Amino acid sequence: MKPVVLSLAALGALVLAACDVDFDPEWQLDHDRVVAVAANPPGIAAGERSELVALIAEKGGPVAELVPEQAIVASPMSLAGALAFDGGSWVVTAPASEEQMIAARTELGLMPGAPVPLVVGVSYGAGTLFATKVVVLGVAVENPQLGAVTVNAAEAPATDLVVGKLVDVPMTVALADPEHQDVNWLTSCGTMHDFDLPQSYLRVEAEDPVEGQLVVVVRDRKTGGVAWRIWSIRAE
Amino acid sequence: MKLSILSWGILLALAAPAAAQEAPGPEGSPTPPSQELTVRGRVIDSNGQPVRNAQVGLEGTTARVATDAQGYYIIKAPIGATLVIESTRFEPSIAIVTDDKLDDVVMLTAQQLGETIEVSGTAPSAAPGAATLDRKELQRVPGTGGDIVRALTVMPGVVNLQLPIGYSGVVIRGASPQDSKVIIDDFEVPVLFHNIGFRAIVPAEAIANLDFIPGGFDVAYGRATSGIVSLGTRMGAEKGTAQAEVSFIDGGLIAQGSLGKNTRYMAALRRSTIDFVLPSLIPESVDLSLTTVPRYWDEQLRIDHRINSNWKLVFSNLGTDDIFELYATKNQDAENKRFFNRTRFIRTTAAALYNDGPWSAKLALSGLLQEFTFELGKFQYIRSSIAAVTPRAEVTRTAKEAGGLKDVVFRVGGEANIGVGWIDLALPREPREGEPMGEFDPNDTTTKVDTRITTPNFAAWTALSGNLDPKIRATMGLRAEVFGRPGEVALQPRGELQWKFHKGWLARVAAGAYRRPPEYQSEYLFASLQSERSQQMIAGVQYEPREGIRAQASLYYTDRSALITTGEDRTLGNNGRGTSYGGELLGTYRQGPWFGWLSYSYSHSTRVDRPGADERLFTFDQPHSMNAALSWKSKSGKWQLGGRFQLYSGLPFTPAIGAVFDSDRNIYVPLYADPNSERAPQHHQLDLRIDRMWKLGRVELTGFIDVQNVYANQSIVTYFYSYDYSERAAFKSLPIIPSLGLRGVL
Repeated sequence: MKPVVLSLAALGALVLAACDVDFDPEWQLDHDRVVAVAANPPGIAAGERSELVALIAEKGGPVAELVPEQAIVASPMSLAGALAFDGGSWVVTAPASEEQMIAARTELGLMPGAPVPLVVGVSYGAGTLFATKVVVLGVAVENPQLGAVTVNAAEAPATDLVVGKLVDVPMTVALADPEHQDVNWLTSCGTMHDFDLPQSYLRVEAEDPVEGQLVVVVRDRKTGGVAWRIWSIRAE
Repeated sequence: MKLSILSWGILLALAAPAAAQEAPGPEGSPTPPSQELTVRGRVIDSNGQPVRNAQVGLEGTTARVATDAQGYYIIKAPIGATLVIESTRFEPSIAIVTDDKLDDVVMLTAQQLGETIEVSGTAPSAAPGAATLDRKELQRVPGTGGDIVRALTVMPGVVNLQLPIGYSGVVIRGASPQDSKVIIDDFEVPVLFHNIGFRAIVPAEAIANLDFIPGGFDVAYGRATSGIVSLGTRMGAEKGTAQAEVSFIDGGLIAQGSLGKNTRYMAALRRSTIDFVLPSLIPESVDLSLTTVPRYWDEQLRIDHRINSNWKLVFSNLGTDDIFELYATKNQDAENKRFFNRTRFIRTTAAALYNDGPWSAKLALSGLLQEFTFELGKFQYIRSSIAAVTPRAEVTRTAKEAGGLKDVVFRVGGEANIGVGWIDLALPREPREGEPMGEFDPNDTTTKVDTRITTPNFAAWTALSGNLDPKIRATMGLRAEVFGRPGEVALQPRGELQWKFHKGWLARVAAGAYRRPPEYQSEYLFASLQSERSQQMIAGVQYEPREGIRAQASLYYTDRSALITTGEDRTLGNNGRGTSYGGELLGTYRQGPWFGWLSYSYSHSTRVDRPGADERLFTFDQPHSMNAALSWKSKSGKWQLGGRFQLYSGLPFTPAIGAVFDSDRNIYVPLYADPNSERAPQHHQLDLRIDRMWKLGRVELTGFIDVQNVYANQSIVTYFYSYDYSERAAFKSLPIIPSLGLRGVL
């Protein structure tokens, strides 16, 4: 068997090249992007409803929880009618009829009785930002509860954070199920290190903005659930 | 010198009848051993081509005569005496004087014998467009850091790239890396280069010769649809020497010499040194932990033992070990940010070589142990171990005339390649040639396998070469292979026609069928896959006005079928087709202190991945590639200066045109334009090299500085994207790469 043949030297060169470019890093909140899409709840039994909402970041602006501007069912197409704009929100309603669920399972090649993943596409920014979100039909699932968050080894305040400049500011979030849960820290103030680990740290350099926001997002890979929390942050 | 040899030959030829008349032996009775005859014979290579300037002499004496342009020699020798025939291009051979007209003596290269040579002449190439690379000359090519295998990039037909992203072998004529085979001492090795440093796994000093055959290769080679790179390791020198070399990339020791009258050894060991330097080059601000800095070892051992005048034994061992571990964080408990790779193999070969006048044979048994481990994050990995054994035999018989043909060479050979592999992997779906990389999802283990795989492959071949008339020579061969895993039998006829149409000119036409079994990465996981196929046609002409000056040109067309591609259902199938065509030019000049090299290739490679799909470029399609090198050595031998200029097209790539954010997986799924629809700009660079030799007591020291890309032309290799594919940046070639080294020989 031939080994994977990506030269490590080339990989290293790519890494170093990547370090040398001016891309916004993945933890940067000051960037037009969909941070996360939530279905409330992410899994629903027959006849139940789930509302879609997303955390949207904007370059030069604050993050905001917004209803999708547009939404469509991407898969399975036989359940395109399960999504509707209702009362100012995009709402998924699990079919009450078992025939529709059987047709959807057939379309996706699923076993009889299996939950059906409904893939919904959403858009923001007048059609410039696209995202997908799965709502599981046929089983009730809740979003995770965000665990305790500490900043500088103390419990994080409810809304406003004040951190020091030119120092490493440790941050942690407690995960209920570390094996299946992933974390993301994002900020528009300073540099986030280990942004995808439960234990991260923030460092605000002299040239960094001294005001912005901090967000932590926790995703549950097993259930598809998501939770987030937002702070205003100031470095001094 | 040529004139004097010729005069000497004519003199002997004129003297021969007289000598025979002066001392006639009794008819029907054996000639007394002391009776001297004027013996006439001829020296040819395995293709039946005359070997010019071979030195023929009586064993135990120093007097020698040289063969003429037709390979003939005339020498006085008694019946029963042993003639020793030597050539710089071939292994020594012998002939026993039994008559005044001796059978043709076939000289074999080290490659053919499993022994080693140093090529300094112009050996006949193995196919139109092929070439044998001279180790000493190619070490002079700037820009290679003294690595002979990296010097392959000067060959026409070899795809050039500023950094070899995506492969660790050689890409030939726009095909895929796995379509060509790398062979060391007749047996395939899994990798040609170390993971870091772009260093070949065999140091230059341990290599005797390197055959580059971009296509139309002989029936003795198989399991490849494009080309062959064949290296021969070096037999230890008679005089014992020890040599040390160190540079910023690696350092090594080589010892060689004799053990008694009939045994020679060569042992080499090398370790990377770049791992001592690299950690200090990484800025403190970068979130990286190199827990195991990239490092490699390699070793070579070769023992040659001559049993008698006919038999010789060769034992060789070759091994490498590359390891690398890093965390993309300073937190070394973060398993999801870990990257680990280890590649190691050891190949051991024992060969028995037989040579007796028109008969020669090679019997060999080789074993390979290989381990490959790749781990990325918490979930993705490949852990594979492979054990393989390969018995191989080839017998060659020559005859002056047979079946109406003259200067006949007949070969027959066979090989069994039986491997057992244990493969445990969990990976995303592997993209095939030309398919863009999918989204990077560290949790994706779509392809999950833990199994044992057996690959029993068998091959037999035969070839017949002979002159149809003094100017036309034909070779016809057949290779039959059984690929055990897909249960496939493949017959691959190959042939070549040579025509000496004018003095110094040779025209060649070759055609053949080739197969590559489905044994590359994820191809093992689909039992229904058959081999990929190619049919090659090559026409070439070469001109050699005199020793040291040579030019060759060739045109080729390759039709590829049953290419393994991804189907609509995401499984692999033999649904692709493709073609490659192009032309290549090569000129070499070796006169006095000068060594010059000029090569150019034009190539166009396209493919269709499944019926009805659009035609697209191969990923390594490189229309233009030019290399010019010039080297000068001072009369005293103390100084050596060289320069090399390269100009070549960029490679195609598939641009991303956007992305959709998958919120549940927290990744961006890229959207791509048509495969390979853009091309990177062309690249040019100048490399310079200076060598300086000293003597320090008994130690011969050589220092060198080899600078690549001296005018720092940073051209674009390809592009890479931001995490959400909203921005792209050029990945450029390195600005300037100086390489310093010091070699000492005791």
